[in-house]
Amino acid sequence: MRRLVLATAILVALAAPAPAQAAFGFQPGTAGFEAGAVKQDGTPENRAGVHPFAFDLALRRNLAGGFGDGDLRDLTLNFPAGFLLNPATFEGCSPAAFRTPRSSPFEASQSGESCPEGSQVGTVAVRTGEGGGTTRHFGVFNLEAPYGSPLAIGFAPFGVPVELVARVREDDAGLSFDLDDLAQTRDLQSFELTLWGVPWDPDHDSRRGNCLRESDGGSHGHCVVPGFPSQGAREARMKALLTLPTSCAGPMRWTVAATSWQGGAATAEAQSLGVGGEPLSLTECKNGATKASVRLATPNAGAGTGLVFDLDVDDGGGILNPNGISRPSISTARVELPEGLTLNPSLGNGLGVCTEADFARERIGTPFGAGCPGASKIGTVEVEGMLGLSKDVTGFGFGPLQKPLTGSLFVAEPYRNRFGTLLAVYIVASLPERGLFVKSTGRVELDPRSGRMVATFEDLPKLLYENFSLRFREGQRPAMVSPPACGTYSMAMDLRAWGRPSVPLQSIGSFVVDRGARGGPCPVGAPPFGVGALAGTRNSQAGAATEFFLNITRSDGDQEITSYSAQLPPGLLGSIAGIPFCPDAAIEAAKSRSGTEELAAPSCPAASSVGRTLSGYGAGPVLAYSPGGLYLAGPYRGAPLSIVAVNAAIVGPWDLGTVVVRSAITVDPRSARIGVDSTASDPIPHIRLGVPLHLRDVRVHLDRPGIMRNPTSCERSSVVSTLTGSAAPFADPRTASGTASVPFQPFGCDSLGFQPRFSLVLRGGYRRGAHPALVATYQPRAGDANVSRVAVTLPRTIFLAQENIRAICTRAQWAAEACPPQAAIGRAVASTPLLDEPLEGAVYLRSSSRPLPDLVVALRGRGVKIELEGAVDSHRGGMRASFEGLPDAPVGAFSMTLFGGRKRGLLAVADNLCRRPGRANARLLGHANLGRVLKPRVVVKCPKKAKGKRQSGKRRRGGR
Amino acid sequence: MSPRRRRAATALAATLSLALSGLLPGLPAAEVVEDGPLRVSFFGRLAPQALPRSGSAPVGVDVGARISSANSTPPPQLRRISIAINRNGRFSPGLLPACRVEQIQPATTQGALEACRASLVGRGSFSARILLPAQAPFPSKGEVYAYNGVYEGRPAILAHVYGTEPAPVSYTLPFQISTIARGTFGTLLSASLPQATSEWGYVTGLQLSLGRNFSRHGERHGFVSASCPAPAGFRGAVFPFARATFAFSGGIALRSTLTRSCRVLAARPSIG
Repeated sequence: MRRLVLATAILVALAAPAPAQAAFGFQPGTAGFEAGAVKQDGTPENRAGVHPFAFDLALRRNLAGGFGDGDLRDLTLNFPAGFLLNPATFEGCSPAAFRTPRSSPFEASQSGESCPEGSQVGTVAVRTGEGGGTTRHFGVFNLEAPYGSPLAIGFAPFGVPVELVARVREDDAGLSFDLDDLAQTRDLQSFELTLWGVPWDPDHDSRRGNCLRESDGGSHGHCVVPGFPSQGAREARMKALLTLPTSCAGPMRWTVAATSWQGGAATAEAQSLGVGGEPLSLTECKNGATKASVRLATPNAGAGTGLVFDLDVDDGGGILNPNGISRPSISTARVELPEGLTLNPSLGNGLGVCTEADFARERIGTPFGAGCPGASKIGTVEVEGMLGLSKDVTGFGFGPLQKPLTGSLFVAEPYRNRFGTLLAVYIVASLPERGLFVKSTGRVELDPRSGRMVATFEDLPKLLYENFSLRFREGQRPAMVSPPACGTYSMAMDLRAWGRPSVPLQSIGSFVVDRGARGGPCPVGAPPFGVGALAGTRNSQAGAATEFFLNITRSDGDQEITSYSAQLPPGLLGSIAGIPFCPDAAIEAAKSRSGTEELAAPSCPAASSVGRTLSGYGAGPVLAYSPGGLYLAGPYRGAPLSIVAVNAAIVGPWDLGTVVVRSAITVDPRSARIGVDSTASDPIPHIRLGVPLHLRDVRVHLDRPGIMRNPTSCERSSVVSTLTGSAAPFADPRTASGTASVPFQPFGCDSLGFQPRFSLVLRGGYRRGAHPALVATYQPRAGDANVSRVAVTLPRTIFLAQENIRAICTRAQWAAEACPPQAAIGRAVASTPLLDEPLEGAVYLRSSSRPLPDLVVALRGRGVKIELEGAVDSHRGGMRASFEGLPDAPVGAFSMTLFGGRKRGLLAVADNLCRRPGRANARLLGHANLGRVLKPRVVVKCPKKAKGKRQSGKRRRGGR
Repeated sequence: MSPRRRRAATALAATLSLALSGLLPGLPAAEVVEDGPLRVSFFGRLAPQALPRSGSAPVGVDVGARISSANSTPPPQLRRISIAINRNGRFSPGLLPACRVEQIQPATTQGALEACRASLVGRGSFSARILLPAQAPFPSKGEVYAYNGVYEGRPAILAHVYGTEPAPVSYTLPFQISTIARGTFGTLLSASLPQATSEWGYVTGLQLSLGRNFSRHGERHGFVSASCPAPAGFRGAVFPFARATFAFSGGIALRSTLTRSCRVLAARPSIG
């Protein structure tokens, strides 16, 4: 029977003359599409940010001639930006309930749903062309939104489910509703939709659920809403669904686009109108009411810490409070962080970067790492309360909706970001299942002197939210370093709201540092400055060639290291023979190079390399280490030598340039002890390109083969390091100093021999009254211990020719290196395997506290000055010169000549040395405590006697 | 003068002579002269005191001086020292071999003795304080051995100074011996200080004991010999023994005279 009816209908349709049809589309003007918010009295609502009593939207197809051309298939409704629906706090209608026909005790319902009253958010009048045209009224319900959509509303007129699924437009964060594949089973010709501003307003109870009379939109009477036994329970549900835009840019505009199953397409536009039909702009715009705050994850002084930046909407719950007024959200936030809070270089350890291309790939649904690399993540983002999606609201609605947006904070590629700055961040947060997505940027400017950070976040979310939170990383490699002292730190913040960029919203924020670096009490006064040190040689054998390492550390919360000086143990010497200096020009050039350039092609020649460094920067458990080279350089600021550390300051993605620290190397003239003189050295830079380095770990490896040589003494000694520190803001680079002493003691001295050779030669006279020159030569055996003490007693027949002491160099003259020439009584030369060239210099008589002036040898070579001090006295009638505390330094040979001559010879012969040759007594002691007593004959050149022939003439008398 | 009064005066003189001779023996009592803070103590003695009235007998002469400052400033440098000996004392340099400076300078004491032992005529001591620039002054002292010698062609006493502290050094001070034709003093010993001490320090003391007995052609001789100039009838005499002149840098010169006594040696009874 049904088949017969259908066939008959088809035949009738084919046989009948074609009726006049209108093109697929909407009726012109407001007849076809109109929309607007209304107050309770029905007048238009145009106050910005308020929650209107209702929102009405009418959409009427073009039915000229009685039929529309085509059946509506797809429909898109675009709401004005800022016009929000907040469905999250309302009960939702499950898909099953939405497809179960309504059963009403009051009438035969034609609604295809049986949604609960708690999910109803409005009504809709739907006209169908069937049956000569019928209009019936149905409830509109808050549906469970599909994945990727923030919300969906729907109704089921005549059993046809109509689902309007919302999405957030990327361009203006406005809401659009899509109706897809509307069933053709009904000829739906118009919709007149009413959404309630506050759905649980009792005023809507008469049209809620079965109370709605479908025939005319009236009410079946007083209905009792199930589930609301008390007024309190209802008030808890009195949340606003609708929120008008907060911007007063102009009339609200809606657009609609539709397509038909037959391929037609149509669009229409509506705007908010006044009672007279005139365009109605939004008024009474409010400024933003957002409070920005910054707090430290770890409120410890001078410690690594995370940082939380919050934007809290402070509008009295405007987005949910039916009586509240929403304020515009913040578009730009500029935060001047307080001085002392600085970027932590150790953040760069293992950190990647997000390129512009990576950031462009970040879209909703982009898996983590598919856009910005996971390695570039430096924090998290959380947006709460967007469209009411708040984790704080529970008990209603759908579980998935009640999640905040979460995302990541990525570090942008230095300089190749949209700001062209060293430091920039990208912000990506999303809630893919709700189709919500936030993508913002942040520019961080660094004060090059103080490291103070000014962060400017732009394109912050337009959609209203309750809280926007950026959490910069803490943990092993925290993002920040807190100020070094306890206190309250204030910061200025300049916030600009969307739509009102010219209106500054000043905000003052502060955070508190109330604990010491390690969680203890706050440091009193200046921050502490403790120094840790490790030092030693790889080979502990006395006298052996070795590598040397030094490790200086400080703790978080301690003052920054600004200078370093050291004293190596006596006898631990550098061997620089054959090592060229790194040219001064190369050192200067290195200072202007990037770290990358320096790594690729070191400024100093490899031949001048003596070792390497590793510098650990930052705060927290893990530091960022950057490598560097150590090179031998020439005289510097009065010091004979220098070592230059050329360090590529690359901490993760940040190339902070090349740090060049040239340290003056001193050689103690008496002990040859090597030191680093901080007063003549470059200060250790504490900041590069606005990034305080927070140098905390310095590892120095002098590892060129043979570069160092151990003492031949096994006496316990120490490596003494002295550092000066400064507390930010580094105004005084020497606010504190710390000294660390590391024990040092070689072993194996008993394996060192000591068999030196020593000779004395007199030249220029052997008779009484002669003033010959004396040549003393010391030559150690290779591999022996170095000599520590020498005492040489001349034969009793060699006197001091006191009359030839013409001048004595005073201490002051000596210090000024201005000894009178007459005070020079000889010359000396010493060769050493440590240097290319021998050390040479004059021998002086210098005033002393002893009866006789000292005999001082002033050796010079390659800028190195060595003084050998000898005391002169007599021992058992013989003149003695005693040199004690000689440097523990290897010597190839040492030769000293005391001038001879009647007028300047310091020695006088008191007998005929050819007749009575004398022997000297030389007592030598090695640094390894092995001694030798030698009795060298004083060699003189005597005339040859004729063999077998007695000298003719008078016999010589004694001494003549 | 009446014989009574002559006897009384003789008794008084004898008493004084005895009294003085009883007090003075063995005491090289010093004469102290001063010029500002500079103080020089000059001392000396003659031994033995019993001497023949006529002729001469070998004696020993002991002279010396100590130079000091009354305050903390060092005394000026001694440039020259001259000692005039009473005419009744005589030096006989020609009776001993002469030593030359070159033989003993420089030399240890032992070396000098080896070279000029035959010329040895005395010994003593020498002290000085050495002042070197920017050095604390330090004392230097040594033994002095005096040799009969020749210096610059004239007889001299070569005072050889040798010390080992603080360093082995030797100096030789040549005291030239010259004769004074007239007056109380007949012999002059004069020496200039060596450059070493004159430039770098100051002499603080010098003491010489001169005298050597020897036989020559069967006769006893002394390097120094003397008689007692007692007036006739007196058993002793008090006489100006020596006069020293010390010349210092800056033109300061101090002079001091020592008065000593002698007793007349009783004449030996002739035998046969």
